[in-house]
Amino acid sequence: MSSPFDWSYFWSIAFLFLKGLEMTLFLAVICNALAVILAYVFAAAVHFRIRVVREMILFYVSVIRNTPLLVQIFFFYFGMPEIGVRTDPTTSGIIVLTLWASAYQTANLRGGIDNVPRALTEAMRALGLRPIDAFVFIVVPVATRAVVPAMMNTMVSTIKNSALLSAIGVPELTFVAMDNIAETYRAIENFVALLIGYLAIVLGFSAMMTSLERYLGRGYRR
Amino acid sequence: MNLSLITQNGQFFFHAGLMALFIFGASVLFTTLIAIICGTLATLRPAAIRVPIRLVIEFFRDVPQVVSVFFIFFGAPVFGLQLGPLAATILALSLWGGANGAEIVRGGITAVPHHQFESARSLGLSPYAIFTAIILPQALLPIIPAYAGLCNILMHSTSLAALVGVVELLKSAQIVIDRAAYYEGGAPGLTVYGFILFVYYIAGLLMSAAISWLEKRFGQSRAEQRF
Repeated sequence: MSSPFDWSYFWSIAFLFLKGLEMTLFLAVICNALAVILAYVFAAAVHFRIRVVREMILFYVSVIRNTPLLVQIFFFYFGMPEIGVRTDPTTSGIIVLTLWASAYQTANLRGGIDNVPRALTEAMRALGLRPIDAFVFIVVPVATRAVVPAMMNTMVSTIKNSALLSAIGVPELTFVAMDNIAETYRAIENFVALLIGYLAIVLGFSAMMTSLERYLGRGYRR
Repeated sequence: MNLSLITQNGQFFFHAGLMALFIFGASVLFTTLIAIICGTLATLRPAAIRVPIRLVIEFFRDVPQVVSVFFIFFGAPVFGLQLGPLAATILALSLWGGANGAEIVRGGITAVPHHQFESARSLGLSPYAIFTAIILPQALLPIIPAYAGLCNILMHSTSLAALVGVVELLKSAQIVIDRAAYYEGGAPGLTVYGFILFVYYIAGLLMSAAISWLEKRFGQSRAEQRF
């Protein structure tokens, strides 16, 4: 039915895809940044054993990590309006994706914090550092350096999972592609464009993160 | 909260759950096969084998899962491969999982110390025996945690089938909600989607328990071997 690759059609959708790319990048930056910030707050609350808050955060992390993101998206977008939380697709998408990513980042950070050598925490106490100072200036930097690769992986997953938001109509890359296909039945051109878009984002991000990792690892070469 | 919605449609949800379980089982099976075969091929010396395999692996690893599901369902017919929603989902998840699993297996194999190959060869073992008796056992045990993570993702990914029309848990929830909202009104969304989240949560906990049991078991036998 459909002819082989049609270049003129391919170029005609380029602009639409740039719009989608912009949205995906926007989601990637906002959600990852918010998620990392939240993760530090959550990890601190768990670390300091703040009574009920700690249990709540651990439960939240385990629920998010043990349920599919797609169901979470539908739960939030179609379920929450019933109790008065009604947001547009993009806002819902940002909220759900941020919460999802922050659960994974919290788990990553907790792994790093738990693995900070005992000698270090004992030394901090011996030096008379206040617990909060010890956490901010010693534990967090040491733990962060250890978990940067894991956090990078989660960030890449977050970017790729933003594709799921097309299910509730957030106009990002995948949505643009599926919309075009529904309109013109030209699958191949759209999938090629989609592939290029995601490859560009993921590979670009990986390159950026590798250099960040090298920067953070400076002075730690073996 | 309207729990009668769950009990009334219990059987429907049960069948949907079985469907999700079937998608999960089939994609884990094919994922494992693809992962072991492609992961092994990716460690081979000749570039003619290694490079194309690595390229395909990278392709599926860098593209979101939904996109690979959509690609198999909406894109593959252009190449003459017309699959139903169920088969398309299983194929897409298997290819995606296989690519990620292959990378895990490749990591496991490259982590086996090189002297193991050399010792096995100097003992006169055939290449097949070297691989199955010496390399694979040592490569597979350390990758259980990574593989378990992959299975966990695959379990969650069964919900993607809803987007191409397979009636699994998420789709069944949508159907029940649509019908309830149409005939009875009220607010069925939170209850039904919450129920689906709960089902996945329980399944996830069960799987974590099974995996930690596996790890403990194999970890023990490995420790015994070593000392």
